[in-house]
Amino acid sequence: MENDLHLRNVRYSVQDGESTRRVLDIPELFLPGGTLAGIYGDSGSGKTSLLNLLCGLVLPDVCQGCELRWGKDDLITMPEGRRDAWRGRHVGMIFQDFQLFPHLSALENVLLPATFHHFSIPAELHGRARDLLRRLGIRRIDVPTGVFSRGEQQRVAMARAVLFRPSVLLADEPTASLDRSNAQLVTDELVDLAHSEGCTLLVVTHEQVLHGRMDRRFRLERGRLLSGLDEDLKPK
Amino acid sequence: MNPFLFLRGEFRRSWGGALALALVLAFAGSLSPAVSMMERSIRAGMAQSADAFDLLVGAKGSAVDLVLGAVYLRPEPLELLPAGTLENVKAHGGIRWAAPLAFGDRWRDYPIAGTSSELVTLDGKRPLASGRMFLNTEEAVIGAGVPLNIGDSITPSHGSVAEAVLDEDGKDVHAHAHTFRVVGRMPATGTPWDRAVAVPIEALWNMHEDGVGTGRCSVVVVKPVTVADAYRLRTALNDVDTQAVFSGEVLTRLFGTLEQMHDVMLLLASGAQAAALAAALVSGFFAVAMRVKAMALLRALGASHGFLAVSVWLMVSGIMFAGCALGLGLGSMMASAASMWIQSETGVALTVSLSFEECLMALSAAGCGCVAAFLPAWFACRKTAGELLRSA
Ligand SMILES: Nc1ncnc2c1ncn2[C@@H]1O[C@H](COP(=O)(O)OP(=O)(O)OP(=O)(O)O)[C@@H](O)[C@H]1O
Ligand SMILES: [Mg+2]
Repeated sequence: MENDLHLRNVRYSVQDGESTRRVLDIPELFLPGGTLAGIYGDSGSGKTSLLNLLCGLVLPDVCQGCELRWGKDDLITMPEGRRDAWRGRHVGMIFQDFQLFPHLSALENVLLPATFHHFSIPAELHGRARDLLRRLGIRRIDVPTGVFSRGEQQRVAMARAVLFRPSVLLADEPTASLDRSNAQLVTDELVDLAHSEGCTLLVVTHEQVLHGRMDRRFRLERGRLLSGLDEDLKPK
Repeated sequence: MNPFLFLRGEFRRSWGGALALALVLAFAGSLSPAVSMMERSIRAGMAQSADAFDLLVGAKGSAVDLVLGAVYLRPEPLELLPAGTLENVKAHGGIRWAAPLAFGDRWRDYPIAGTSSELVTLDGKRPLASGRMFLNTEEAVIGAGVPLNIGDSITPSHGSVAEAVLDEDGKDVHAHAHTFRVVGRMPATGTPWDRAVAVPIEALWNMHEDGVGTGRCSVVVVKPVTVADAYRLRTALNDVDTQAVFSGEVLTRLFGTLEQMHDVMLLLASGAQAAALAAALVSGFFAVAMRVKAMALLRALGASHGFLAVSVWLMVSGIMFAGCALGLGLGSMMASAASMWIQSETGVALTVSLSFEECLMALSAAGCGCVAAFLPAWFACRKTAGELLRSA
């Protein structure tokens, strides 16, 4: 299908001082478009690296027969400029610590990615940004986000991530720095957004509640992707 | 693409630093336009002051002192000419008018010049602004800037302006017994003569009965009929006791010195500006290094290398451009202030104006800055997403 994820023979190594270190090693992965997938694993197991790879911020090691495709879009052969544009259009990113520009307002933060492609932002995108913020319960859209609560900031970040109706949503521990009630709110809205926008969602998280809402669960163990075990996510 | 939204956020975040940097650039960039504007206005003001003084005849000695004394009324000690020089000069012919000049007295700190009516009105070419010409040794005509009215009486004091000494009662210890009545006022000329009190030269001779100079003067101002006459007169009047100089020629020599000073100062000022631009450039690199996290985020959100490069370039060159423009304004203000001070000190009217030359200097400095701003821009966009992520 159009938005299916194909991974084959993907290895990712980093320079660690003198030596190179293998961070990820994934022989095969297929994920149909629209799947909601949760990923967990120990710190340093390569979760963030996997998300960076999937959005084309970094490339896998050069090797024969390796493949990293979203539908027809082959990230490995795509030139860097095209990959940037592709990421801007097709991927929404949500981070643990929100990564907003604190001196820009909520509306400006949401519209910022639009300024990468447009000189003057089309009215239609403006309208969509306002709708998204309203839907996510952000009322003070003209106030610098530096003064927002953490839950509000994460919701602004979510509105920014889905502005262009991406086919892929990547979230790196989106609820880890939120309290219980905000985490619940963000979880609900993330799943809602993924459903209503019809995107593939990959979430790195250790929250059982969030995993419970996913179609599939993966466990990363020193760079190897294994299917998740239910007992890993039971509260201890 | 439109980097201005991103830049707006960055400006809100660090406008203080940006402003400080622009001000440093403005101060450094204000010196060279100020120097260049001052030099031009001093040159024009001095040349204009010398307009009426084509040919000066004085005792042998420094030509520069002669011009400074006669044209700018500086208290230079001038030797007296031999008696009968004025008649001797007039006898050469080819002269429209010739007038004697003698100094040595003052009213308060306004110099008194003993002369004849020809110099006061340039032989009728420059009528008095009000009142009439002095007719006897009790009358005086004042310059436009002397704070007296027609009808006032003044008591001159002996000694040049530099020697004024007041006693405890505020009375001048060198006061003469003689008094003058003001009968006329010259029009404003924008020259040091606006501060002068002109009296008949005979009055000075009377006041100094000790015989200091009866029948003698320090300078004869000559207005030749033609240019050929001027050169002939200069040759003829340069003899054993006297020298004849074109004030314009002496000024050209003075300007030569002024120009050398100007060049040296301009060199120093340009050095300061270059140093400030270099500092701004280094700050540009620091700004990029400080924003690694923000840039990694922009890349993750889909911004291209170009977007980062344009943003950094606009940020750095915008500060440089603003600094240079501010510097031009600041330089104009400094030159105006300095010329106002010089004018009040010397009476030489100076008009400071911004010319194409200074604009070009500021523009080329800003241009260099904008070109140099490509370096941090390149530095920013050269980093791959991976590198940015690692350092973020
Ligand atoms: N660019 C890089 N340079 C050097 N080492 C790197 C780089 N990227 C990742 N690593 C290393 O690879 C390993 C995996 O990192 P990654 O950030 O993917 O882990 P993670 O699973 O997200 O950990 P955490 O739960 O702490 O966020 C770590 O040991 C990390 O130090
Ligand atoms: Mg991580």
